[in-house]
Amino acid sequence: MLKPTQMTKITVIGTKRHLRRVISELYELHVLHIEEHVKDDLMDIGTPLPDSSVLSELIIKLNAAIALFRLRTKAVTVDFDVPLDALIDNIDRKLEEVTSLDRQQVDIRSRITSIDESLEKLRILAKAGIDPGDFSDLSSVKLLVGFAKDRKVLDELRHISSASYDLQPYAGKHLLSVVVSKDETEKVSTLLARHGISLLAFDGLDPELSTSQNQEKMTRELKRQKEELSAVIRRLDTFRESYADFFLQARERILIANEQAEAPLKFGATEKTFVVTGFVPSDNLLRVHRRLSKVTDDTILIYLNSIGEKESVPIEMDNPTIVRPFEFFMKLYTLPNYHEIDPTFFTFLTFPFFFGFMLGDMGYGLVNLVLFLWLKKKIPSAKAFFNIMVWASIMTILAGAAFGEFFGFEQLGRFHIPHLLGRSEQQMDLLVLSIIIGAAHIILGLFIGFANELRHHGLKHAIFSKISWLVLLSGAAMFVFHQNLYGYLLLGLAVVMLLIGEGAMGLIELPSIFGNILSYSRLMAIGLASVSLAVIIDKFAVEFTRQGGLLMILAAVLIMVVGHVINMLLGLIGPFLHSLRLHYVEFFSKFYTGGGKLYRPFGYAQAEQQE
Amino acid sequence: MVDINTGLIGLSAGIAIAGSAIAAAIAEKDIGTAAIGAMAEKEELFGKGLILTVIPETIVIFGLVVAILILGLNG
Repeated sequence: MLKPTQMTKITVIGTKRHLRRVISELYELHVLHIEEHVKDDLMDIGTPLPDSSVLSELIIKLNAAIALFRLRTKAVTVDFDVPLDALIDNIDRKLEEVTSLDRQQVDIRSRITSIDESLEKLRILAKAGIDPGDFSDLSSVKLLVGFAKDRKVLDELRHISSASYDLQPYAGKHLLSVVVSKDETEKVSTLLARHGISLLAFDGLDPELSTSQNQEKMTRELKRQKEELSAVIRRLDTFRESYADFFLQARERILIANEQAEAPLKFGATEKTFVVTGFVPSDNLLRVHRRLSKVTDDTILIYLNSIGEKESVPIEMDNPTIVRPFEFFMKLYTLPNYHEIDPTFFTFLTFPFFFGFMLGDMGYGLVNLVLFLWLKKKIPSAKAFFNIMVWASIMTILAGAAFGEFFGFEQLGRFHIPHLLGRSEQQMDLLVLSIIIGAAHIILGLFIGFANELRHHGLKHAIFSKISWLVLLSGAAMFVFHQNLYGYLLLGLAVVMLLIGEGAMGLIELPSIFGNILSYSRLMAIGLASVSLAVIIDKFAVEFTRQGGLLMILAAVLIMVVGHVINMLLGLIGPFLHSLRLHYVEFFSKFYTGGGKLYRPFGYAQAEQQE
Repeated sequence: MVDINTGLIGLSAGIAIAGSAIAAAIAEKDIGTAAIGAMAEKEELFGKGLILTVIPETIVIFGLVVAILILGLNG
């Protein structure tokens, strides 16, 4: 419970003939945390299995199809019964159906856009009363139409050519139409281009027809294309419904296959052999050996390596189910390293207690409890966090019972809620209690630190670096409460011990331990802040109801609801962060090093995804 | 009518909170900015950033404790 799972470092050596089988066996075992091989003089890294390129291409295509269908990624169960080759064929066929339909969709859409553009041009021409058809069979002249910003262009036009023109206002601009003889066309076009006038193209139009006939034809065509588009979309929708699960499952299966195919990239390889180094939980060692020997006809070598003092070993925290949610805090901060005590269990004991002590209200606790139980059902992905909050809420109710508070009220009607300690009156007692809790917590931390040091640096170092702080604390306590000589003596002794145990740095940090303990006064301060707010809300509400009248009572209810909701939100954030901080800063600094890396076994990780 | 001493006690409690709150706010502003910056680079730093950001809150909590002690003078 207090130690991470024991790991064994192994090196697996086999011939490349068995590579594929070993990989799939390791994948199924799902216990080996592979240490990536770094290329060195002796060994290069391995090359992926040959099917890896096909697989990764397939993943990209599947992702595209999934994006096209806007499918939500969800946890799927993978069916391993279908052979991979058959599955790949099936995927290819279905992808082809979908992509060809998608291409059709894109084509139709672009046709619709171009028809829309032509229709817009026709509207302009119809309004201007110009019919390009009139000019199309005349071989000597040409019609140019475009929008001009102002009339300036006309002077120049008159100057350089004999073309006839017309200018009329259209949607805030000037619609310029020029009828020009064929040999002057180029000259005039250049002039118009220089004035920033882009010409309308009439290529989509039927020259045989008049503008209005053209308009009719285009509108008919547009309707037809739109019908076609909706037919394609309907077919895509039916595909979406029938293929959605298939695509998601197929992707999962292909991802798994690809992960296996690319695994040799983490291995070391010579011409004929491969080498995998990694960590296995020691309990699984025999199983790994048995299974690998079986699939390779006993031609595999498994070496057990010793784990060095400084070596970074993957961490799998090993806590009872009830404590496990609190591993979340370790992951949020830093995982314990392999050689030290895993503080999750202590966090489980003290985090909800501190939280409850600060919030300390039966009403708030009940509301939170219901809220977090509901959220836990609603958002299973954050279950660990909500489990923590459920514990915290239960402690809030208990603390609320001890303080005799219900939504800030200490009495309901005539009934005084019994309490062990009234927070609003006995502030000094609360402060002293907080400091005592703090000192106890810090001392617990020092003892854990002692155990850590004892294991790694021996008794002498453990005493000088951790017990010295305890001596310092007892000296300070004696000095404060009795003001006698022993206090001074103990303080002096502690200073000397610290100097030996932690050097000059220890002396510099000497005052910090008192700051740490005083820091626990937040247990009282944050609680009081929340109490004061609750009391103020209640006072307001009571005052309003005294005034009488329906309106006043409604206002009182509103104040109660809004006020307590806000206070509860504050009361979630404050106590949560500060309780966490007391652990991370004050508690952990007494023993915790951290820096562990998470144990990620090679293998199918569906269970992890769902977590 | 409260007497001047009560008023002064209230005022000093207010100053204790106000001063420490401003100090904590200034400190948290700087740390928060830096923490967000670090998180943009590496998202896993959220936990550490959050904790570092609330560290100066100790200042205002001490302020609150002092204020409560001052109010305690009033009896």
